[in-house]
Amino acid sequence: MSAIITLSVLGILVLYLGIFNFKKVLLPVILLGLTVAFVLLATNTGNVLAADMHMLVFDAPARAFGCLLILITAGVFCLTPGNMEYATKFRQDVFGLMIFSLIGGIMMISYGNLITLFLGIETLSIPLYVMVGSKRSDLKSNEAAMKYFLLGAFATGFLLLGIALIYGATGSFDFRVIAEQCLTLQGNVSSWFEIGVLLLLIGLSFKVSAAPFHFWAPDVYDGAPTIVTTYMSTVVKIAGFGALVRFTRGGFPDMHVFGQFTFILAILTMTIGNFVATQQKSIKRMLAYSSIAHAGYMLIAIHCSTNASLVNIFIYAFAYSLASLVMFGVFMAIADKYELADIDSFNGLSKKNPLVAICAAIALLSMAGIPITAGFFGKYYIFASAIDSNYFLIVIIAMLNSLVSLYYYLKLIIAMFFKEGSNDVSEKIPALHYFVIFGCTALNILIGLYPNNLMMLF
Amino acid sequence: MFDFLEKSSNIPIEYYMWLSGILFSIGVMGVLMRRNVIIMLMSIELMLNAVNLLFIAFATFLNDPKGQVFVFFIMLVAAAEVTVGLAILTLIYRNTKSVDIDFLKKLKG
Repeated sequence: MSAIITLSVLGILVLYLGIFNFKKVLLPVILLGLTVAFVLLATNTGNVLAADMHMLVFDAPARAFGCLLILITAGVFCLTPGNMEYATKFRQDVFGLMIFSLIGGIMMISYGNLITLFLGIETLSIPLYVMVGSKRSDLKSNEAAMKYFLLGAFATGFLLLGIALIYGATGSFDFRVIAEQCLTLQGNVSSWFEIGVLLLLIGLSFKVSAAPFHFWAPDVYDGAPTIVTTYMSTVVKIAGFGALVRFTRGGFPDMHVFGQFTFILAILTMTIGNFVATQQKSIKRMLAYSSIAHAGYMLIAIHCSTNASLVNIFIYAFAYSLASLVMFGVFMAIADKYELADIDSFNGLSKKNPLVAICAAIALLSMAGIPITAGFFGKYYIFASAIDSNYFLIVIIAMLNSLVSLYYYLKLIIAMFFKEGSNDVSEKIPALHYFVIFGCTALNILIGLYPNNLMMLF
Repeated sequence: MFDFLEKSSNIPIEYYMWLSGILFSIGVMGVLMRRNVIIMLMSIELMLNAVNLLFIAFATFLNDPKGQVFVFFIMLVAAAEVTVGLAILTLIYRNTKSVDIDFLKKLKG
């Protein structure tokens, strides 16, 4: 709870710092505030008010996911120098909105009540609509904001209808009470309940851009300012999956009824994401489709809902967002200046900036799931626990999909290492950028070498 | 007045569910079929208000005030959402001089 309060104060403080023209200290203040919130959340043991009401529950998984969200947000903030020129005047507004949106994310991964789930999703989304449209004179950014807003609000309607039906069937918003009701009624729960849960899952799938509810994702990722795209493809995705896994592991005994739904969702998401990504020329769109594909892999863990799903999704999300941060960092440093940033804009990176090229290659290999990177263990744990619970078909499809994904990841690596680039002088990359790129790569390999250490968080 | 309340409590809950279901579907169709952004916004509001009606009906049916409290949250969020939506629409109008969604097809691939 104290972490959420700290972040709220930080957000307001950032807005005021902007008004009174202290723009030089914005970033240090934000990073300091995020550190404080991180420490408060990590050391949070007992809850005063929230635990009694069972509104927000900061148990071990919620703390782990929350710390991950704050860490990744700090990484996104470190990538802002040099990438916020479009908003020189309104920088503090975008920063403040990002912090408020993070609060929504933390609510989404720690909810114990459907009210806080709904409010968390909206607190995450509403600032995002503004952030996506923050490149105000750019029609592409406007269009992305409009699409995201309309589909987001549309999905909210379904989510709310789902909550209403669950409430009608069980008479409560509290997760414990709902689970108890399910147990006592033992299969005699009214059909409203099942429809409600299905609608709620549809609403959440919109947020994590799972196919067939993914149509907004590529357009929005493409049109939004790249720094916002980075935020969306990491923090929003983690928060969405945190909410999904909390929901499916929330003590509903009959969740296997919805196995069909998540099964179809997982397979469609992986396959569509990977196959369409191979066709993309623009790097941003390719990364968008690859992020849809990663959502598919994480949906496997949701589908074969076991006790290990939480930790499996955590490791996968950690690995994926580290790699994403590196890729978007490199992309912003090199290719963002082009109108259509296609794969050729990465040509000859290894000559110009070998260290960055190696980091990008490691990130791409991690996304593809090659050993000694964190991505390998992310995939390994999810597949292994799916096989343990006898879901062979979905694992085979996922394996084939990772092979397809190698194709477009390797295309980028080949462009970086084996193709001749133009001879223009490489631009100066800000120091914080290097910090994020190298830090995330180091963390990525560290997790790849000692994956068991993450398990201890749970 | 009280007579009316007494009689209305005799209406079975299914009627309310049908009504809000129909309203919700009208909203969904509006979002999917209309091309004018303002009408799409109105349709989204209609969807949310259909859900509000359902919450109120359930709250009365279950004799439980929590559902009514939730309605306040929905109204609050809907207001915030519409504010942001109209602001985005104003931006688009400035750039394209139109509120038609078909103008927005720059993003493809």
